Amino acid sequence: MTPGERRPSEAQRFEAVALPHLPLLYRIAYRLSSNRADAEDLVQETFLKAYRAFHQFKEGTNAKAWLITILRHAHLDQVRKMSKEPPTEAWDEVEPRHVGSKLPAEEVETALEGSLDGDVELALQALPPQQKLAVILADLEEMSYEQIARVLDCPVGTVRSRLHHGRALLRRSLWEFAKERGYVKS
Amino acid sequence: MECRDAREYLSASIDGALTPEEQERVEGHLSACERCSDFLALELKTKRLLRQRLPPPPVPSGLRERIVQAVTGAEPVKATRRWGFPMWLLRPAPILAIAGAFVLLFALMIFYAGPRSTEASPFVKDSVDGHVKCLLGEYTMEVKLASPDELARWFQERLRFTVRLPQFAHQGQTELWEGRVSLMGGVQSAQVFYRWRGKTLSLFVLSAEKMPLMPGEERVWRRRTFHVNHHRGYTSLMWRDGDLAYCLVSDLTPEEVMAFASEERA
Repeated sequence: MTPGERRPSEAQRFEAVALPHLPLLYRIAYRLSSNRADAEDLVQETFLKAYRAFHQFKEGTNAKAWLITILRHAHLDQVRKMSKEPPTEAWDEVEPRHVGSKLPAEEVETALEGSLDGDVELALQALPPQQKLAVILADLEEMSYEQIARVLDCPVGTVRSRLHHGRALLRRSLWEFAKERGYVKS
Repeated sequence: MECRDAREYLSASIDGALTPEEQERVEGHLSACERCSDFLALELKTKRLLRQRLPPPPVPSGLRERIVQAVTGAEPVKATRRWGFPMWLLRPAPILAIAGAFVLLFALMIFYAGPRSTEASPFVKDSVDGHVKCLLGEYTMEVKLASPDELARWFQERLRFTVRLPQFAHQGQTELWEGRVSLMGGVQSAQVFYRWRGKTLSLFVLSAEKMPLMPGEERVWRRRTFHVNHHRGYTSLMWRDGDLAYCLVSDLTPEEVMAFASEERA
């Protein structure tokens, strides 16, 4: 007895359109939440939300971008709930104008080369959600700026600036880890 | 072009995201600026580092099946955490807990095998059955949502009445709110899991007019009137709030459940 049951054909259609993107969605979810259990929950929730909204999906349009957009919203909900902070906009648009530029390039290079896998993971986690997603989509998934702009629902110029700031913040974190470990003096 | 303006375009250049004109302007600046060349090298290294250090994780086995099941609705959602096999179960404390669960299961089997009570009201019987079967995995929760509000909305689409989910003062933190539509005495109700002191309690919510006579011994606790029922070793506690009837099922004592249910968050 499940009210709201659908014709099997619709579920099958959804399976054919959406399910092939499962590996991609899981990769993104895993990098966003950094652990397997949360990533699985996030992906499962994304597919459920997508299924409920499937009637809004236009056949022949970009299912990949549509699904990542749903995942982005689901993730922001999660983050908002966990942090109990005001909505993300306030801390998304951190403008780290000087974040990268004042660091000594040689030290940063040493820090990048000497960084551990865990450091890179932590540095990525430390990014504000929108910058994190931009970095994941551009650097790990190699999506074009136009595709990323569609997913993030923002102009291409904003994608450019989020990536620029995101990478600079990443380098700053890695440089700070290196200082803590003592293989970069400063 | 100044360095400050150039940097963002340099970033984009490594992603091949510049127009030919932009690319030309950036290269013009680059040929005359050593610091920006250093920056470009770092930017490239950063991008490569991410790809090298963060390899794609494989999709966990069974995730696809769980999604298909959840989506087709033929089988309700299998909760990944509850029924999956997470690695932390291999630590000593969960092993003890699993052993405890088997003892409980054994006890339940004895209950099931024993003579069946014919006195229990169908509401009480169904509430206990619904709770136990969910714990044993015979029934599964249909959804897991991030907040009680979302869950209430989910029920709104499926039931003919508005579900209000109480926020008990002492309820445990739960990351996801799990719910299913269940039947109590032939009446549709919302079943939701709550956590308290490491235990899982089932709360059933139904339209009060469907249950004009509440079964069970009447007891007042902190100005709220409860109806206490026992069935198969479980406490099924009922009360009314406005147009809704609530029923909380667990293996705690009536006093414990009343203490839990009588304090709601302001």
